[in-house]
Amino acid sequence: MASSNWDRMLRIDLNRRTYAVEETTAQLEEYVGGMGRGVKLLLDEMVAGADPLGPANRLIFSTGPLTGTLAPMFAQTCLVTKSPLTGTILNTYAGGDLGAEIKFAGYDALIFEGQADDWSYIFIDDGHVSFHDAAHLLKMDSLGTEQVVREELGVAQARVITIGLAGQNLVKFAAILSGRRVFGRGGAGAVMGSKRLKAIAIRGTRGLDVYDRGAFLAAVDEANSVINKELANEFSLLGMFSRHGTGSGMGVVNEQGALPTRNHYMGYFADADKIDSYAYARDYPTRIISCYACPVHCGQVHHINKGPWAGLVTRGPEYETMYALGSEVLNSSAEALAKANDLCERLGMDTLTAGTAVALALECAEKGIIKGEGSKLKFGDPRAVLTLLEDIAHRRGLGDLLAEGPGVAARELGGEAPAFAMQVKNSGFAAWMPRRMKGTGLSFATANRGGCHKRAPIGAEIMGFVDMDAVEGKAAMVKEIQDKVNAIFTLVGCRFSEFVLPLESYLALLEGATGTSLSAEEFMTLGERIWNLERVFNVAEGFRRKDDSLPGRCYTPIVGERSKGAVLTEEGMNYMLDEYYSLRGWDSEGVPQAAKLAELGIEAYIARMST
Amino acid sequence: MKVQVKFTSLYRVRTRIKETQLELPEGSTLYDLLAAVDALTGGSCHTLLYDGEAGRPGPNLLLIVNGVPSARLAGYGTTLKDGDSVAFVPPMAGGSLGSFGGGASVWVLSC
Repeated sequence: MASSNWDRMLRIDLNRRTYAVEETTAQLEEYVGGMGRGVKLLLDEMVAGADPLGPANRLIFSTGPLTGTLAPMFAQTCLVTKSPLTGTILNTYAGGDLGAEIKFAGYDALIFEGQADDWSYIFIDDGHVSFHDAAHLLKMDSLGTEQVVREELGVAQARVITIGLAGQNLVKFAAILSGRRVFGRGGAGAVMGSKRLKAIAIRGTRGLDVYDRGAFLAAVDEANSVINKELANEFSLLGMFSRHGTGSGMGVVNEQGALPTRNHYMGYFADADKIDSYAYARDYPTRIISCYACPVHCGQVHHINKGPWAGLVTRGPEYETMYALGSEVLNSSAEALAKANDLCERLGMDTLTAGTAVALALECAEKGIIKGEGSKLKFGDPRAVLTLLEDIAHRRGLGDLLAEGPGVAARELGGEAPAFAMQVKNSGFAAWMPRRMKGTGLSFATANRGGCHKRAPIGAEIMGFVDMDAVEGKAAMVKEIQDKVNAIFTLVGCRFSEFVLPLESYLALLEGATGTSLSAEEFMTLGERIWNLERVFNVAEGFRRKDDSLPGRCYTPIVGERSKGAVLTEEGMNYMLDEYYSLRGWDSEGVPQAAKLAELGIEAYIARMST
Repeated sequence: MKVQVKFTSLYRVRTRIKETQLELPEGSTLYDLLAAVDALTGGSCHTLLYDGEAGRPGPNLLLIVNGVPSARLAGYGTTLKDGDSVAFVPPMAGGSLGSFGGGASVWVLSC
């Protein structure tokens, strides 16, 4: 029978410059696709303790069964690898057209392994793979590389993913660029750099079919009608994202004193309206862009046509970057923020962890922890931010230390620095405050990839559906959203799809596309199974309760307007963590118990945790 | 008494006001504040503030009083006091969020 899955993957060995097409096993198919497939593969193929920047690490680009089809909001690609930033398993996502192109080339997933001696780039042209020298590209930024690779190959429509200087220099939070979209979190760009792989180009010309065209198209129509109804209301979340991008929600966060400001010292940024989406739309020509087959089109490309960086054209900044390189460092210049955003894209760095590392440096300078030339750094000076970003990517001076991640850098800087390095497991905080939103704090602490906002009860807390300051009941909310989003990420549904599509819609689309029929309960259990597999991976790497923790600043009161005095207590955090571990079926150290793994059908992995 | 009123996001665009101070009688509630804003904007934002002719606050409003959503206080009946700060923010709610609290499932947003 037809299916939207090819049931085959392309494996590329960078040492030997060979490639092979592999059939997917039935056991792997149980994980549906996307994140599930990637996590299972990495766990099975990589021994515990292996160097994330060594040849044993894999870069697994994993699509979902709905990628490349007409299903709306399924354009992203999942990337699974071991993070050099955190030492944990990592899954990170980029939108755009890459996933569809992988499917059109005839694969569900691409796996890169080994480590080449010389820099190369790879061209996957349907069934043919070629290796190309990349030494001449090393001085080029990510976006320039994309253009040159396309020209050299003579294939204008190829999708090209690249790393920038940060990836080449193994900056621990280096990103992988996919056109104007980014695999941002966790340092996948450094893994690609460690393999001396500068770029991957891919062209697919095959068509995709689905299991049951009638049922699938009916499910697509249903999903579209729900989404379109939402988009018609300009005050709905997607309606706002569609018109003004993710930065349209800054006001609701800021006015509740929950916008991290000045390295999380404050929760209110008086200049937020100078850098939010409306400020960009008002002052600069703005064009809306969309991912493959997505009616939401939340991407915003801004043309900065005045000021010191006139001529700059950049996608974003997104809301999260408005925090990391805006409020967090007291940068109220929309132009400087656009420049910092563009710099991170060209150098290939995660704006979130870069921003938290920079904010750490600014505060260390202010407190006299950094001496010498660096002591002149100060909040509110956008030029200092731009210089530090360059220094990080080049690994110059203080930048070389910051390139190791905010947690590692803070330990090295010493003094009280670790207390205000806003990170979990060395991964920088996303744009939310644990002191103000307690459930989100628990999500940050327990996230398998560290400091993650993708699986947090942010909406319920920020919209006032639950008391954001309460700790009671938060553990159950966090567990549910973690499991649910993991399940959605097996389909590689956009995170925003969860705002609008009912669970039944995902299941109908999956069944129409592949014939796989799952109940809502089975779908949620799939998410829980994957969450536990990730946890097994991390436990085998030595992660325990002590690592599910927040920096000291979270236990001191917020200063300033709107949320003055809001605080998370250590008792409150322990209460949430105890309840969370209990609900998860983990012991008090956060180790999954054998009975839980057996219940989820993954008891074969119990042994890994004792290695 | 004086109440500081701030318009964020789309409200800033529609009212063309960033921030202003309103003089309200003692004991005024958020209902009274809406009426004052309606008058301030000369009725141009009436359909934004109210749900049709019913006189009910519109579905696309979320008011934050001193950093706390009105839903966590006494709703639109919340009594204001001198020096209070009220922000108009878009609710950003929709779709599956509506089922939150329905008992079957917790649907929550994240960005």
